[in-house]
Amino acid sequence: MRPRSEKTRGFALTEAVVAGTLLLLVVQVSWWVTAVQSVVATRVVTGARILDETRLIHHVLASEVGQGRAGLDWGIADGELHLRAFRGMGFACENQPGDGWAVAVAGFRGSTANKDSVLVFSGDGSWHTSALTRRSQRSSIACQDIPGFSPEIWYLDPAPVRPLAAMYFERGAYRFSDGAFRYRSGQGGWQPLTDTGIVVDSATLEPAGSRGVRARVTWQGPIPILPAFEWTTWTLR
Amino acid sequence: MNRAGVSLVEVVVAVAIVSVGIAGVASLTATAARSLVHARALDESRVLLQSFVDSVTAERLPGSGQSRYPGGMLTWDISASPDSVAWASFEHVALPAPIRIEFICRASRGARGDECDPVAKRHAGSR
Repeated sequence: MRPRSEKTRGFALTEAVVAGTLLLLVVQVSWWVTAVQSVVATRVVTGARILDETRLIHHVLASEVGQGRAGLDWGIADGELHLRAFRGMGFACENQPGDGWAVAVAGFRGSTANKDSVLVFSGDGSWHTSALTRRSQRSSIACQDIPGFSPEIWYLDPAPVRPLAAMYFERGAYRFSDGAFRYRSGQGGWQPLTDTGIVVDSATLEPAGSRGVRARVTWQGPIPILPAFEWTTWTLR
Repeated sequence: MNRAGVSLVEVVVAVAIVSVGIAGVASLTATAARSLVHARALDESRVLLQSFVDSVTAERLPGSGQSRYPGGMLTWDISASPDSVAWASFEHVALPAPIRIEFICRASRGARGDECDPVAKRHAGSR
């Protein structure tokens, strides 16, 4: 008779088969969980990106439509939102030079001569549009100190009469095309503001009453949230 | 048991550890997905409330009421007195609590009630 220690040392064939099967099972389950986790995580990340880009579209439309007057500053034609894209404003300085118009200016970006136009509010309560033909940032401009504003001299055509304040703008347009939300400055090309992935057939810009823009955006791809968004943006002026 | 190999207890422990790991990963994924749904509901509520406020601040429409949307219920109260604080609340089905904002309506620009926007008209009509 063999000693007991010899009899129990090592693996029996059955034990090896069971251990191997269990190991394979564990590896299989782990692999499956990792794969599912990867798919779900990718969808969650895609969903978060879609939410982020939809927020961007809403913010852009709310900003642009909110500060323009319907029918005058913006309008919708063929699914495109054409507008005066206001980029900043200026207040008349107390002291005016012999030529040009001294203003304290602030905006999303600086004014650009030969590209921007200026909507001028005059002392008689009327608004007029002029072209910004030239601008100057002389250090000798005497202007009241408004935090965040810097003095400039604008040369406008036609020259405004008794101007008080103004907003400078560029002509632009927004639309959904080629899978993205796009902007065109002037007659330039359509530049994407979002990633592609928008179902263009289901994405529209259309008038809502006399002062609003209704936007519908549908994103493609499997995501864990409803891919369709719809909202209305109103002008505040 | 004195022999080398896998005992029943070890198998049970191993399976338990793997199960806890799987449950943890699944829980994390579910939490992330739930957070995304909440984020979408928050976005939807914010956009709807902003749209509502923008639609009524330009054209003052006093009154209170409720309106049902696919995402939930909108409730509002706008006082008739000028520059008083108005509020609107949206109870989204996917959020645990309603979102409420307070705002101040500008004084009326004049008799332009016929130019009210569609949302404001719908709200006014549902009072």
